[in-house]
Amino acid sequence: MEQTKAAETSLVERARGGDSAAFADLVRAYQRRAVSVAYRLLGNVEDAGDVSQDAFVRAYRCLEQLDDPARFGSWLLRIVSNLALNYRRARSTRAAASLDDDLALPSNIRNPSTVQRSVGLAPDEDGVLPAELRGGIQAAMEQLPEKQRLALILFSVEGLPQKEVAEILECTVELVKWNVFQARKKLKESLREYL
Amino acid sequence: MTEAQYNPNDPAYLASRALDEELPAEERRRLDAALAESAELRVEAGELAGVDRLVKRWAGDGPELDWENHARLVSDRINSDVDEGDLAQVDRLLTRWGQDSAEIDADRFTAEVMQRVCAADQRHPRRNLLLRLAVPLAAAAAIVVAVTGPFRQTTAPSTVSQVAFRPIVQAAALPQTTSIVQFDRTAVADATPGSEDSSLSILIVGSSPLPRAFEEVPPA
Repeated sequence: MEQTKAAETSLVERARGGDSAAFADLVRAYQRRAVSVAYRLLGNVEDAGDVSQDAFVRAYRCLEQLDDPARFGSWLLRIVSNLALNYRRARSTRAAASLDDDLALPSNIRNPSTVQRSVGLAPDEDGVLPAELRGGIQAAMEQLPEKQRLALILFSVEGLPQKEVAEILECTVELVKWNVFQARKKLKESLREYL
Repeated sequence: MTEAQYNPNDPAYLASRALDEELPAEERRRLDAALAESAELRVEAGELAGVDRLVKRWAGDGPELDWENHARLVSDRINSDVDEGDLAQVDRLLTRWGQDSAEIDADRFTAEVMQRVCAADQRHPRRNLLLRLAVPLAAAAAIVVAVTGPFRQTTAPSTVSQVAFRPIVQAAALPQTTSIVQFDRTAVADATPGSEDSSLSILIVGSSPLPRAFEEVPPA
């Protein structure tokens, strides 16, 4: 772990000195996690790819502002989260402005439990989640307040330690735990049919 | 749904933390006691565990990309970003140059115009009427140059100046070559005296240092 941090610090220092190959190594090391977090927040692989690219470019531009090079990962994921949430807000605004909004959105996005109830889906314990259930969880996630959604995604989905999640969210570890709990409580209601 | 107040003693909160295997022994005992007492809490704890299982299964369904291509796209954007940085520097210099140009002393400019026009008036009394019209228009045009000069992107002649001066020159039956008036920073308007009648030319030079105003071209 310490070795990894030392290597990461070295890469950040070299990238700060203009070594683009060092930054490319950082991109390779973090792109999966960055895209994954963006994907969980946006529900769309293409958007997630674009947002994570933006995040890397922004990180490269602002590398001098990173106080502790050993925390590059947390810092990058904070940028990814912020950009993804901004992107999502802008997308919501555009969708709200569309006169065809209600017609364009599938009903399971508007109300995930409706379709699920009528289709009667059940999660396959051993296999891949059915597409509708996957969409239902995504939609239920999108209804969560941002802090709760981020806390749950970073902690339960990405498996980051609570301390790192707290760094990314710039809050206390206690608040991370509380937000995860609140998110679970809300999902319990919106996903009741699947439980 | 209103946000619940933080309550570390909420038994359901303990149940949620127990899912993450992080409860200290003391809190674990409290949770077990609460579960033993409350059927409602047992149901809630079971549902929270169900949510956690669903979320973790959902997590296994991660996005797949062409990662090498993704990394290459990031590198390309960073490299082009460096180029954009150079262009941005050029843009900043141009903006500063434009701001310098904006520092025309409009009053002084107008006064110089007036002075030159009056001098022309004394030499060419027949054109008094023309000049009485031209002076306020020229002053107005000078202000337009002073105010809008830095924000103009095009090198095309100013429509305002053409509209303002062309009818006057036409009314005076001057050759068309004398009617060219341009308010443009990069292009220098030319007025070619072609005969005795074209002795008055209006010439506005827009390149830096800024305008020397209307030039009177003496008769050929």
